[in-house]
Amino acid sequence: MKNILIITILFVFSFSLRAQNYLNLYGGYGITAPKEINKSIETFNYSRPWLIEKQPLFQKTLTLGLGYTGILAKGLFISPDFQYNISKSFSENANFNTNIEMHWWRGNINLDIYPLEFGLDSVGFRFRPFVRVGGGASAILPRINFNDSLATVNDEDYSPHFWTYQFSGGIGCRIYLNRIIDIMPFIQYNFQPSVKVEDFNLALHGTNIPELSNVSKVSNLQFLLSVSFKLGRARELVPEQTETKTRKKKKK
Amino acid sequence: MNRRILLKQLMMGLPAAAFLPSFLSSCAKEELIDSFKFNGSVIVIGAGASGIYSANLLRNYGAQVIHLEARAVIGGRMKANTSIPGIKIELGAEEIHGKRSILYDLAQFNVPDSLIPLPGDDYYHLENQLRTKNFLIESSDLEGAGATMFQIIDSFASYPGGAQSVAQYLAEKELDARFLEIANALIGNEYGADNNKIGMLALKEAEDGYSSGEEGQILKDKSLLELFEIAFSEDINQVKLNKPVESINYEGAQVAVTTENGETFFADKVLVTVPISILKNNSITFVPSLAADKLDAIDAIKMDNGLKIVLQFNAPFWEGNTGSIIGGTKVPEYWITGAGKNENANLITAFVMGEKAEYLAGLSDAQKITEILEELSILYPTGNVSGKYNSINIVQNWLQEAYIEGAYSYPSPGSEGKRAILAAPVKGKVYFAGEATNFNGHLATVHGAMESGYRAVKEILEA
Repeated sequence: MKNILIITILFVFSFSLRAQNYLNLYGGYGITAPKEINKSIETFNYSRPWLIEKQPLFQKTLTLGLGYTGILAKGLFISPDFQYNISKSFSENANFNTNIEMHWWRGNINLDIYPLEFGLDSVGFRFRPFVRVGGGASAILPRINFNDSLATVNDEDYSPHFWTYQFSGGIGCRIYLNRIIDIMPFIQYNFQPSVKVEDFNLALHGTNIPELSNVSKVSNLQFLLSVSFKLGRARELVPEQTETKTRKKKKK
Repeated sequence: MNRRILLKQLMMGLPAAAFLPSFLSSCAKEELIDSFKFNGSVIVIGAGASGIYSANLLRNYGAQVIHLEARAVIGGRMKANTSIPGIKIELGAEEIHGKRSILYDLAQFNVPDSLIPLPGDDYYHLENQLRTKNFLIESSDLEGAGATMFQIIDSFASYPGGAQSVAQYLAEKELDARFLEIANALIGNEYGADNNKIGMLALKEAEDGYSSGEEGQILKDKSLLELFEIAFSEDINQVKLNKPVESINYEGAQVAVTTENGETFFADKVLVTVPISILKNNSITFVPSLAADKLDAIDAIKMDNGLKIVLQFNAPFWEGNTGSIIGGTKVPEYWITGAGKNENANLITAFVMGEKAEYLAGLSDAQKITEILEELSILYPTGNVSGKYNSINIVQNWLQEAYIEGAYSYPSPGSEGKRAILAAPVKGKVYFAGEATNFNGHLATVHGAMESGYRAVKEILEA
């Protein structure tokens, strides 16, 4: 994680001096399917049939993110970003509320490829579709609360964090709004091949259940909308059409 | 396209973007446990914690349940005495071990106001004096022997050695002889026997798996059996009492379960939740006979006698904050029965397992009381113990309970790995649950019995 942070800072530093750099603020939500964790929740429901409101499975994730986009070459950008995700499963029963939260902190380095722009002056496009590939590391913080008290494992509060890695891919479109702001709807798919959430089952169930695993493959499909602020020489980078119109006026 | 058109299109696209994840989520499979296809019939034998809970689970998942209990009452080793006003005295299972267990959740859900932490401090019987844990650890007179004992006890889960008893291991560790009775109370007696009957490898297995926590809980104004009656009343109403099972024939398409009075019940499967003692003494005949490894497991897992003797006094002679008195030579552990429940009840429970239980069980009730009063008088020389005894007592001898015949299973030498073998289903027709089949470290507990219940029911439903 430390290395990723250093690399990110270096990228930001080196590219901030160049044209077509953006600061991206984004948010959105998505679908998360941590299979083994959901299986554990199902087993929790199965073993506690007296719970009237069942514990919902993890399905949705809310995301907030901060990123940076800098040009590497025409049509090729690098986008390191950092995002916070929260997935929540809450059930409310008389005398027995259960709140399971998964907090995911993701650091990614993405390559944004603008396939229509290779060899062209990219500033001339209002709509700039792109394909994203990337990868990075995540910190996962599972938290289980029963009646607002943290779950325990062997009498110790269960508040761990775990590290894992992910691969990401996506598609999106950068849309020119004005000289300062672009907006960028994009869909991103994150895949974490091995998310090990140790003792999650112990904390949730109070016992080891042999058929339940603490290791999940996690897929996450995100629907995000980014607002991008141009940095540095951004004000000079007006779209081509605008520049042409200006020149024509000058001829008159 | 100008900006206005762009914004219009974006606005039109936003609802789609908003609803797409929900739509996709709804398409996702709702149930990962989708293999619960069984909707046949199951005979559950035994109406203790495991049997009652298993029957409830089976009905919840669509199975038809015939529930048989050998005795005239339900509850198994959950039993309460209500003869003394203002307090429900647990004569069997008493404590909810830890705060992360299915039993704790059940209590939290059903009787949250009744659930309280185990009250009081522990005192240790050392050279006829009562000492605190801090004294045992820190006293310079003991030269670290007390601290060593607690360190040994705390490290059982990582025991690196081979097969030997706890008593042998303590000798190998040269535990100070003054601490042997305390160690016996904390290990052997706690697990339902004596240190010379507990196997280190089996103990390691149990300690390693134990995860529900050490913070004991009790129900201040309910008994554990009442908790089950509240939570599973409909299931309890359907238990067929006085149906001691004589044989289980699983040769045919259906399992035939025949009782001692000649009734035969048929079902697709049978779930056996009787105590290990009943399997050990061959009270139930299996046709065909169980496999050799299963019989070997039944033989290896031991269960001894256990006594609870409750005495009432006119006034307390103990310190007000007393919880337990640990390490007696006659009674390994006493506790103040009314602590947290009814402080004015002035009751003491003597909790005796293994050889000491056998010795006391051989005496008349009057002799038992005399022995206990003598020991308490040594511990409280100025307490006028005998003078304060008001002649009210309750003696619970679990060996004498029909169809139970003992306290609970313990980690006997050679039983390591055998609980999983005992728990394994036979030919998809005969299933086993109960505390002795818990191989997750929660043997000998109510929550362990319940856990074995949902493990077995899941096996049935997935079959």
